[in-house]
Amino acid sequence: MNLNRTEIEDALANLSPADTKRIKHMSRNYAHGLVYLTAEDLLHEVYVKLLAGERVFPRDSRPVMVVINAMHSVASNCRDREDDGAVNHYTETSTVSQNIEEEDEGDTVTTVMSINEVTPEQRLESKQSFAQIQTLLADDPELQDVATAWGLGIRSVEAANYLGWEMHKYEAARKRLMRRLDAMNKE
Amino acid sequence: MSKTEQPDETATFLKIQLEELLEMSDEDVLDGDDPGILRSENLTMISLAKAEAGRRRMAAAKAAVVNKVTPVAHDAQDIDIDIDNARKFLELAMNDPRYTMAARSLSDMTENDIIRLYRQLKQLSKDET
Repeated sequence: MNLNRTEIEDALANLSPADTKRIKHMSRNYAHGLVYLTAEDLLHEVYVKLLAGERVFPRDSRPVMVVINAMHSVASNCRDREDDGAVNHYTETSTVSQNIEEEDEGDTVTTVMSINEVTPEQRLESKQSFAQIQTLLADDPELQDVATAWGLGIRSVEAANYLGWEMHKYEAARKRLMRRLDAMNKE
Repeated sequence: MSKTEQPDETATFLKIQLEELLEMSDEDVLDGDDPGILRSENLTMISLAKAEAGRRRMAAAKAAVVNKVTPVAHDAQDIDIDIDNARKFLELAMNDPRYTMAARSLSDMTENDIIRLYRQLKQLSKDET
């Protein structure tokens, strides 16, 4: 059973400030590396789709999860289109700017080609790989350790045990790591 | 770490990050941020999204109406087609490499055939633009 439009609007309006921040945090994660969709665009698009009834809002689901799952889906579709689409969004800017042809009669025809500012190198850099995150955390070994545990699929109490830490130490490091990750995605 | 392992590890990291984010206390998630500002930003987002959702529904409704009336308008347009102009248009189109037409003399075609072909080519040029 799904919510109707009025109920969807109420559910979104009643999101707690912490859930709103969770959603914004994940929107930056999912939009990271996309060329044509910012985190704000992604969140806006998902809200539009939910409010227009283009996406269902299951009655029994936690609203924060409905929004996050929808963002994941929209971002994945966008990433697939950017990666596999007929249009190459990652034109090599160093070689293509404009093409000037001299015709026999001496007329000059200038074909201006659109240039995308995103180079393959920038694209590679923007892809948020686990290895790059680890490198960016090199100045804080504790955060690197937590990240390593997460990369292995270990979290919460299990991660604290894995690292040989008290839970309060793990929670403090987890909070710092979230702050760092959010800052990385904003750059 | 090999290249093929990388996406899986990154995906796992993202999945765990979300699980941890959901498990963290609201206080830890807020991390000093003003709840009032977040609430207000969310309401602004809803307001903007509602306006856009309305625009999309309106555009879809308009498109549905246009699709319904098109066949009627189509017949009405035929009345305005000048047969000589249509014939001239087809003569030019026969020399246009964008279109392939059966080699058939225009003089052998009925007026109805000319109008039908003219309409098809006009539609094709519209679709191309």
